[in-house]
Amino acid sequence: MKKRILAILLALAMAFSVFALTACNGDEVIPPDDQIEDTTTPPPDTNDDNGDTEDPPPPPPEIEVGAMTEVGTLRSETLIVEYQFRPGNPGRFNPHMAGTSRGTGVHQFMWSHLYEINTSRGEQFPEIAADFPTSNEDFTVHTLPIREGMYWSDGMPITAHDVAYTFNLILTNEEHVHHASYNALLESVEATSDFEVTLVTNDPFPRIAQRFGVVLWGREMVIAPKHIFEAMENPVMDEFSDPVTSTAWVVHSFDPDGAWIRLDLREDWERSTTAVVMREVYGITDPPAARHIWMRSIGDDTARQMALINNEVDAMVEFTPEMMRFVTERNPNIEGWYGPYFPWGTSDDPCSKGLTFNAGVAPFDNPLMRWGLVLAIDFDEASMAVFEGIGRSSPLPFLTITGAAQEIYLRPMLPWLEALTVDPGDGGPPIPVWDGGYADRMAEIQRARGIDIPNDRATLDGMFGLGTWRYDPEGAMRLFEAAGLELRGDDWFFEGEPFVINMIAMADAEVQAGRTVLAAADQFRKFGFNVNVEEQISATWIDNNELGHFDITGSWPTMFVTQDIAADLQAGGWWVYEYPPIGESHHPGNMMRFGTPEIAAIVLEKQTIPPEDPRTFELAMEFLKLVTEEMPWVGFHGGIKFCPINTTYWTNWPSAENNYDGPWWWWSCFKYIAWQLQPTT
Amino acid sequence: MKASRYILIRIVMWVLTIWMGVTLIFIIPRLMPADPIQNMIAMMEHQAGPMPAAEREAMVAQMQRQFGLDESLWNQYTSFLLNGVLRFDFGPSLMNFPTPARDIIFRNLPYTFGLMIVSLIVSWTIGNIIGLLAGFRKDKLSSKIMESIAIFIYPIPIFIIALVFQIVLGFVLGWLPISAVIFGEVWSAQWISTLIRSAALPMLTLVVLGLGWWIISMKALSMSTAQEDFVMFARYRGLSEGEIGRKYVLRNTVLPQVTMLGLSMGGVFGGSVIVENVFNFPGVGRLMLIAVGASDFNMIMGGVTITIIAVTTATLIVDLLIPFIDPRVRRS
Repeated sequence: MKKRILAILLALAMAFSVFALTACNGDEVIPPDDQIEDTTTPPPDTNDDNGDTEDPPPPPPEIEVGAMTEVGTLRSETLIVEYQFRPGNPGRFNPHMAGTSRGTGVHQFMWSHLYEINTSRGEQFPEIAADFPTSNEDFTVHTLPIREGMYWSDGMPITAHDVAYTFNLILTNEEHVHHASYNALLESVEATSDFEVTLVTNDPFPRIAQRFGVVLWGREMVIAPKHIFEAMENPVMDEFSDPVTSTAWVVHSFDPDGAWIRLDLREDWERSTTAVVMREVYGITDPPAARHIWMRSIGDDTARQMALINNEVDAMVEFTPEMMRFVTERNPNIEGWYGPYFPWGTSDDPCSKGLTFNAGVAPFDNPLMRWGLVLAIDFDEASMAVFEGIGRSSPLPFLTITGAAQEIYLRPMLPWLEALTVDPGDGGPPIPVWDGGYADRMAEIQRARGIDIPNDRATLDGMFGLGTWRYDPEGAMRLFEAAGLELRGDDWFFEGEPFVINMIAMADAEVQAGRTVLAAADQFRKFGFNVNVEEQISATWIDNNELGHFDITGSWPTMFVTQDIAADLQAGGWWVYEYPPIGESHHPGNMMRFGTPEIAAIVLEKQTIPPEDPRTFELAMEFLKLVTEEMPWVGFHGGIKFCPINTTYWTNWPSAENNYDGPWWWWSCFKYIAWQLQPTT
Repeated sequence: MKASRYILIRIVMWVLTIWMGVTLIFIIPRLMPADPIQNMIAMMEHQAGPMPAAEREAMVAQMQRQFGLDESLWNQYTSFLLNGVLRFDFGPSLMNFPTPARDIIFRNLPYTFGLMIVSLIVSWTIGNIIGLLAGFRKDKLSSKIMESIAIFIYPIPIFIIALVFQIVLGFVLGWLPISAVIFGEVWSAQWISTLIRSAALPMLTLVVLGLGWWIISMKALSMSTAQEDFVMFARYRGLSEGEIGRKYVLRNTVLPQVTMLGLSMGGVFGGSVIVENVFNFPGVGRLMLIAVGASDFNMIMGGVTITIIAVTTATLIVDLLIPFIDPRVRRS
C-alpha cells in the first residue's frame, strides 16, 4: 500500500515537473529540423496559402485599457525596456564618476554627447555640437560650433561653457578615469564664445568627432551642466543622484537596489537636446508618445522569455535564435529584425565574430598554417552550428561586414578576392580561396528546412553576405604540410611532438563568439586535429587573450559601424609589429600579436588624413588586402544580435523593412528611436 | 568550570573558522587567472571602442593606484584582516568604483538574511511538525503521504523547484511576479506589499527546499524515540497520544534539530544565491555571482567574509544555547 501511494505521488509530481519545464524550454534546445518545419511561421506575403503550418499562431493578446505598470504609470504611455546590465550603484547618474552604469537608461535617456550615430547609415550627426568641427591645416586646432536653443531640465541654457567645462574637468581632475588619456591627446580646450569651443591637440588629429562623439554604444564625453558641477566639492566623486538632464526625460524614481529606473517626459521637453535634434535632424516636431520610460532588469533567460510573452516588457537586449523561436511562437506581437520570422537577428552589430590565431605561437605564426585552418572549415556546417545559419558572412580579417561596409568595401573587393590564391610552395598549383556561393547554398539549406527565404539577390546578400572562404580539405592538407605539420597515421605532429590546438571561448557572455569557437573546434576535429576547448568566464578569458595564453580564441578585434575605419585601426594596435613574449601583456586590440611594417605604415598614414579624404578609402583597401593575405583573424559572421521587441503597446520599431536605425536599445542613440515609436492605443 | 571551558573552546573554534575562511577568500580570487583592472578596461572598450595604447597604459596605472592593487600581497592581506574583518572596510567595489564594497553588501544583506531566516524558520517549523507526526503516527495514511512528499521533494535540485514555481505561479497563473519589482518609499505600504509579492516565490522555493530534509530527519528521530522505553512507559501510565507526542517525543527529538538549524544556515545561503538569481531578487547571492564574473576582489572578499562571520556566529549562538536547552549537555 505504502509503495503504491508513493509510486502514484512520484508519477504525478514528475509529470507535473516535466509539463512545467517543457512549457518553457526555449532557451537552449535546438529542435530537430522536422519540428522546425512545423513550427516556423512563414512570412505572410509569400506563404499565406501554402497551409504548411499545422498550429495557427495564438491570437494577439488583448490590451487592457487603463492598465497600470508596477511603477505607477499608464501602461499605454510607458515604454518598458530591459537594462543592459543591472547597476551596482543605483541612483548614481554622474557621467564623470567612475563606475556609473550607463546602459540602464542613463545614457539612453538622460545624457547628451557632442555627436551621435545613426547606425543604419553608419553616419554620425551633431547632437550638442551644431556641426562637425573645422580644423586648421595641420589638424591641431579644432573649432566646434554648439547648437543654440537647448536647455537643461532646470531651465539653464546649454552652452559652449558647459562643453569646455566638461573637457577641462577631465583634463584637470586626476581622479577622472580618462584624465591621463585626455591629457595624452589634448593640449587645451576653451569656450571662445557662448556657442563655440576650440580644442587644441598635442599632435595632428583629424578625427575629433569620432574620438569625442559616439561611434558605438556611447562615449565618455557626456556634456555636464557646469552650473551644477562646479558647485560640487568633487565633481568626479559626487553621485549626482538628483540629476539635471539635457534630454527630454527626467528621473522620476529608481529602485535603491537597482532593479529599475522610471523616467518621465520633461514639461519643457521641446527645449531639450533630443527635441532640438529631432526637429533639426529628423524634421519631427511632435513630442514623443512614450511619456514614461521604465528601464528594468528582468532576470535570467527563462524569466526574460516569460516577461516578453506576457507583454511585461517592450524591448529586450539580446536573445538567441532558440529563444526567438520560442517567444514568437507564443506571442504573435513579438518580433525580431525580420519581423516574427526567421532569421530574426540583424547582422549590423559593430563586432563581427571569428577566430583569432595567436601569431606569437608556432605554427600559428605561419600564414600557411592559418590559411590551412581557414580552408579546413566547412562554413556551411559551422554556420548552422553557430546560429542555425543565421547571419551575414563576414570573412575578412578586419572588416565587420555591416550592410554599409559590405557595399563600401567588400563588394569593390570581389574581383580581387575571386582571383586570390595561396601558394603552399610545394610545386603544386596555387590554391584559390574565395567562395561566392555561400548565400545561395544557405538559402537552399534553409528552404530544405521548410523556412521561406526570398529569392531576390539584394535580400540574400543582406541576409547571408557576398561570400566566404572555400572549404577545401585537400588544399588545407597541402598548407599544413607546407607549414611543417606531419600526419602520422591518424595523428598530427609538429616539430616531432603531437600537435594539439588549444582554443579558448568566453562562456558567460557573447553567445555568438562562444558558439563560433565550438563550431570551429568541431570542424578541426573532423579534419583530424586534437583540439582542447576551454570555456572561461569573461574576466579569465580577457586576461588570457591579453597575455597570449591560447592558440585560437573567439574574439572580435573590430568595433565600428562608421564608414571610416581609421580610428579602429589605430586603437586596435595595428600599427604595432613588435610583440612581447607570451605571458606578457600586449596591446589588447591586437590579440593576434600580428603586424608588419607595411601594415603599420598604412595605419599611421591613415591617422593623418581626415575621414572625408578619398585617400583614406584607398589606404583602407590596401590595408584590407594586406591583412587578408596574412589571415591573422578569420571572420565567421557579422555581429548578429537578436533584439526582440513586443509590438503590443508600441510600433514603428526599426526593422529590416523599416531601417531608419539599428535595434540598439542599450546604446545612447536609443533616445532617437524611442521618440519615433507610436502607441497602439 | 566545565561550562566556561565549553564556551571558550567554542569561541576559539569560531575565531579559527573565521580566520581560515577569510584567509582562503583572500587567496582564492588572487589565484583566479584574471585581472580586475584589465577586465574593467576591456569592458569599457567593448562598449565604447578600443582606446589607443598610451591612453590605456595610463589608465591601468591610474586604476592600480586607486584600487591599492599596486601594493605587495602581504600588505594587502594585513590590510584586509585589519580593515576588512575587524571594521568591515573592504575598500571600494572595483566594478562600482568608488562606492565601498561594504555599502553595497550591507544594502543587499537584509534581503538575503530576510529570505534565509524566514524561510528557515518556516521550513524548520512545518517540517518538524510534519516529521514528528509522520514518525510518531507512522501507520496513518496521512503520515505516509507526507513522508512520500518529503522523499520526493528532498532530492530535487533547488533550481528545478524555483523554475516550476516561476513557470506555474508566475507565468501560467500570473499570481506572483516572475521577476522581483519592489516599488515605493521604504516602509511605505506600497513598498511592503511589493516586497512581499516579490519575495513570495523565492521564499516558497527555499521553504520547499528545506521541508524535505526536516521532515525526513524529524521522522527518523521521532520514530526511533517513539520506540524508547520511556515512551512505552508513558503509554502504560495511560497518557494520551497527544501528551506523549508533545511531552516525551517532541522534547527529545527537537534538540538535534536545533543543532542542525544552525548548521543549515550555510546551505540555505547557498540556496539563496540560486533563488536570488532566478527571481532577480536583491541580495548578497546575486551580488556575489556578478562580482565573481567581474573579478571584483573587494566585493567577493567582503560578501564572503560577512557571510562566513554571519553563518559561524549563528552556529556559535546555537552551540552556546544547547547547554541551556538540553540539561543532559549541561550536566555532561
